[in-house]
Amino acid sequence: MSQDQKPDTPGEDHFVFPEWHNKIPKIFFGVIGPIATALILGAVWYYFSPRFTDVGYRPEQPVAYSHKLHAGDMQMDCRYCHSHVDKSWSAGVPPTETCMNCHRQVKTDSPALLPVRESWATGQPVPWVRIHKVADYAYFNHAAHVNPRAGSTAAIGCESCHGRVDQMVVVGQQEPLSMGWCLDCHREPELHLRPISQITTMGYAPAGGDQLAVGKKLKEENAINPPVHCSGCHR
Amino acid sequence: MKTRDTEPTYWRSLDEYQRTAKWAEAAANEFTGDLEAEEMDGATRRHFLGIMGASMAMSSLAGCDVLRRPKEHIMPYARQPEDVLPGVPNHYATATHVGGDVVGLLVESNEGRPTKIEGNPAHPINFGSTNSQHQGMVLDLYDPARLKTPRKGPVPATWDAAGDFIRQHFAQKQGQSGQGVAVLTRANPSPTFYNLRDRFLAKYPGARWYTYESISYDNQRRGLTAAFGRPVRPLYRLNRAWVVVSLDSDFLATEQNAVSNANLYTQLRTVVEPTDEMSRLYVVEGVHSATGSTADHRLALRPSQIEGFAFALADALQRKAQISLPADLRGAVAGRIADLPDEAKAFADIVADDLLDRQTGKGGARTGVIIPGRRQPAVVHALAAALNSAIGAIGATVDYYVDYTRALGESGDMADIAALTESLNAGQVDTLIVLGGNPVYDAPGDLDFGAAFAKAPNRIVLADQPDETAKQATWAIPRAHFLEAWGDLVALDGTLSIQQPLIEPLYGAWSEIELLARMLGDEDTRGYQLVRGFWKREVGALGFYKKWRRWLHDGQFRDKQLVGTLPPNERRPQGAAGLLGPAPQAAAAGPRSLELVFLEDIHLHDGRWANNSWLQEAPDPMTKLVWDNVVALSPATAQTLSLSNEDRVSVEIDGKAIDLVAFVMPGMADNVAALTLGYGRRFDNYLPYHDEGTVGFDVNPLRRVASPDLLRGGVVAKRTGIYPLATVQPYDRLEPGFGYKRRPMVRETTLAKYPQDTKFAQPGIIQHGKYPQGKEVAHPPTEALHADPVDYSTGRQWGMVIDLNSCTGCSACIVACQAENNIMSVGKDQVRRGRELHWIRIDRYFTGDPGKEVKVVHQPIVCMQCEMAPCENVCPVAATVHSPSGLNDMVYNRCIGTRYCSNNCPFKVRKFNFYNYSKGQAESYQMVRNPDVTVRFRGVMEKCTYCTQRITRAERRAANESDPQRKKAEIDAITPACAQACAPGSIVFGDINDPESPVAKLKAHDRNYGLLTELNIRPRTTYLAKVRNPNPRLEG
Repeated sequence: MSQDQKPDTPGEDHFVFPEWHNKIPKIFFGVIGPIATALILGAVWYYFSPRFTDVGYRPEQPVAYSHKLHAGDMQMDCRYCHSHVDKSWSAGVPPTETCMNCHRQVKTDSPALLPVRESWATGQPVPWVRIHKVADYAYFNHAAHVNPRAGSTAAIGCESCHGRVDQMVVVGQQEPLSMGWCLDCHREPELHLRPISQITTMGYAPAGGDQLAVGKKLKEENAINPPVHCSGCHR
Repeated sequence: MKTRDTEPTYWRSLDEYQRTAKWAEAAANEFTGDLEAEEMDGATRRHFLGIMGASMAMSSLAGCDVLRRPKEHIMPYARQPEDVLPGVPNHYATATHVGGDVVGLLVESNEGRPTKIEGNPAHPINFGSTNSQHQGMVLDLYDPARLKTPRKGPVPATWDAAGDFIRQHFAQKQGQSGQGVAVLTRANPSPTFYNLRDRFLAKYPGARWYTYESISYDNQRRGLTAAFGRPVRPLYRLNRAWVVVSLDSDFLATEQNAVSNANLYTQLRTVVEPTDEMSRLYVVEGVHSATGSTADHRLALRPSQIEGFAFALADALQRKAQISLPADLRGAVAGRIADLPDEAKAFADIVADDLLDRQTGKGGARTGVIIPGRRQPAVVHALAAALNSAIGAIGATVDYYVDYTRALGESGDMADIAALTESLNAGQVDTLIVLGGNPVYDAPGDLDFGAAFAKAPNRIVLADQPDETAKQATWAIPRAHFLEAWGDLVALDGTLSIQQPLIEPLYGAWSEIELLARMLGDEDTRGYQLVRGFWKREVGALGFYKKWRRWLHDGQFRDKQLVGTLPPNERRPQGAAGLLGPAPQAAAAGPRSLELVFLEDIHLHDGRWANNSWLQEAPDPMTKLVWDNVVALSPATAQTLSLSNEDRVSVEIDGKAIDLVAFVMPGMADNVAALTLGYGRRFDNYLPYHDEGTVGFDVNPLRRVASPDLLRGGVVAKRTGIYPLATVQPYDRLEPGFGYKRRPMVRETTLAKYPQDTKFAQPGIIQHGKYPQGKEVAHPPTEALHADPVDYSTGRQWGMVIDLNSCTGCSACIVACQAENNIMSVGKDQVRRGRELHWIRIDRYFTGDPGKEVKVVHQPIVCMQCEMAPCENVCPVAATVHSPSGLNDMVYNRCIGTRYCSNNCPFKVRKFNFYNYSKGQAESYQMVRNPDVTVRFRGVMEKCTYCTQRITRAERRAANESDPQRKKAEIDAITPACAQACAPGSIVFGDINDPESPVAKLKAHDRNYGLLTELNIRPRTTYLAKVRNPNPRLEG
């Protein structure tokens, strides 16, 4: 028995972890970990947000109604159909009657309009699919945005939240409609305020091309101070 | 500088008064009951987690769709009605009645769904106020237990089959000129209904017509018929009555016209300036009613002694003022006061002096009024009419209106039901039609009406629910809710209203008049045509269209006068016309021979709303019990019988016994047992989350048709065991703590002392136990609770003032709040755990010695919306924060349910959703929800918001008004649901920054004080201290 052979030492064939293994925790916690965490956080941040989940939602409607044709090409005012947008929290999806006002004379045999004619005959509603939806506990009011007060010269246009509806053959959601997105505007309404005569204008361009200047002037003139407290929207 | 040591001590229960060990233990524990609760549907927590696991597994199977919200449809109208603007509610004027007691209403409709009932401010009877029953009626419309189709026996049948049966059956009856036909109806003050009745009796001359109400005004009708020669009803002008004497009458809470009474009575109870005067209320009663709790002086007498008291009052008035009574009444005086205790005679003497002292203070000749209760014998009503005449009250403080609900010569509720039972038993009735009502349940027990009912071969019942009567019917037909049916109603003072429906019958239903028209074989049986046609004939076709439109809009009209006051030459009472029997024998009441009193329930009335969870969960004003009825006894009687709260007892009278549960009620007369009607109903499907199929105990078996409300010789015997009661009183204590000697929640003074110390309600100096004894520390402290307090000096700032002087504890506000704010009922078991969700509660404090005279203060407690709210700093997720207009906002979607805020709330007004109470409820209940208020989920804290949805709505309307006056009018009109329902107008709300607003004026008032202001929380809800007006001769 030689001197350097200790009785308890295992034999040479025993596996010993190479020294580089000691770096694994350092690499993991120093490099891979932060990257993975950032990726996961980023993925949740982006993919779980309304900006990803809701924007672009473009469901198929029971009637292939084209906003591009009606609001764009034919220049119909939004309020012809969404008639109580300035009086109620709800902008209102038009009753079948509104469709039939014209379509009793126009395209009376079009197969695309069959559900509308059926609804008119039976009295059963056309089951439109909801696109823009805020949570049930948020009480958004259309009238407060397009008709803020008697004599107001400023308002928020349809376009600001709904996008260029006049260019949409099938309407989809353009904005996230999330609370953060709402608050962005409530904190800086000047970025979106426009003269009240322009609320239904699509592709509105501010006078002089400077939205900030126009918006600030309108905000000041009308003493616009949107609520940012909780009961402004939640109750 | 003064201390508060001279203030009376307030207590909420006898245990608290006596400081028993039970109370001390309960006071030390913040939470009541067993904290380890099972899931409400019986599932254990493990079971719950199992379900959760399964649903998570399923959702992941659904794949990417979890990211996508469910597809939702928008259903616009095919043809939009002209008046409907989706999202903006409409209000329609209508009217309803309870037992012939008519009120005008405005009902809110959200896209065709009636959701909230309010009083019609233009109606001269209720002035825009309502009581809890009116508030709860809208829930009944959506009751899933409603009868939905006609039933032939137990088998559902079609409407056509029911219609065919009625037509054929009555065609056959016409041949027999209606022999063997009997109609049983409830009081129904409707001209169209009476018109159809007259036609019915003309067409079927052999038919008999009976009217029956379980809560009967027979005594009043008989007494006043004797006095005036025809049936009349009194309308008390309490806004002109300086001395009010109630003889066993709960005229502010449960009796006829209570909403009107409460409203008018308050007008002379408001003290603004120290020089202002108040009316004075004396109540003589055996039970402890809500009216008695607001009295300046209460004399507890057994109900049988009150007749004697009335004669003692007559005697005193005769001696003092030589009033002239009708001869028969004058002759009866001596014989009837002999047994009255001297104390009561002395009381009567003082009351008589007060009634005769018509010059007290300023204001010229003053008049009092005497109000007899409906349970008192007819002779008391006749005597009260004579006394009212003698003191000049008739025409001044009371008007007698011809009773439209009852025809001349009609025998009365109890005589009618007895006569009907007799002819049923004699086999004379072949066809019995019950037009609403539930006589099998609520007829007096000695009739055994259920057995008699079964003897009629054809039993046609118009019923709301498959109730006790409908289950025994050969044909049960769904009765239309008043919001589904056309009708017309005559109020007590003759005001006419059209009962305008707001919705088509949900499941199909006929109203009383529609069934009557079918029985008459009419061509057109639509309610609308019946009512409109009747009135067109009445007022003439000329200009009728416009008139009709105006009636519907206004909700009331006087184009035709059907009822008026008595003509002046008939206003002199003629005595008691044979009502005076032999003088009642010396009342031999003792603990073994009790006087039984049957009370109508303030919320359930005679039991017709027993399936209404809002009304079941609204606490009784005095006992504070929910979901149960009890037999209430005075402390001394309970002690003699060795009974305490929650003891199971049997109540027996003449061999008939029922089981009940005992409750000790301070202030009641000794040897009296008070039993509440309306409970013990049976439903096939009771409310979710309720522990048993029946609620409370049916006391009708003990009643007797000869004397349905008062009986003598009852025995209450203890049985083994305890029956748990649910009360909203034992927790939520506002006990002094942290070294404070006393924190008076209610402050009061008397009218005489008030001018000497107008600042009595102000906080003053409070002795602080942390400091050496006697050392005084100034309050409130100046230290702010929040780091950067908000500036509330500009803009609209909301505030509320509650006047303790006028609150009667009637709980209409509680039910109104529940209807407006989608508050869930939680059931008896949950209330026992202290989990009820009411945003407003009414604390009832007793003061005084329970052995002697007990006084009461009712204090409604809502969220105080503290400017320095202690709840806000402790919320870890900022789910409760302040709005710039001073509201303490609660954000449900942010709340994670830590309940720290509730722990830190000094008023315990925050309520936590322990369960998802709205789940499991029938789908039809979703229709009653207010679309402007979030339905809260489990795990979320909730509380009073000052009805922020109403504020927002009004502010929107104001913003769109260009005229500044109308803009202000919109803001001034903001009324929270509680204030809108409140008949005495105790709750005032508004902008405290507007010096012209009523609320700001009240806040500046000397009587205004805040609760716990020493904590520097700066509550926005403050109180006006109570001022009593005791008679100096009865003081001390």
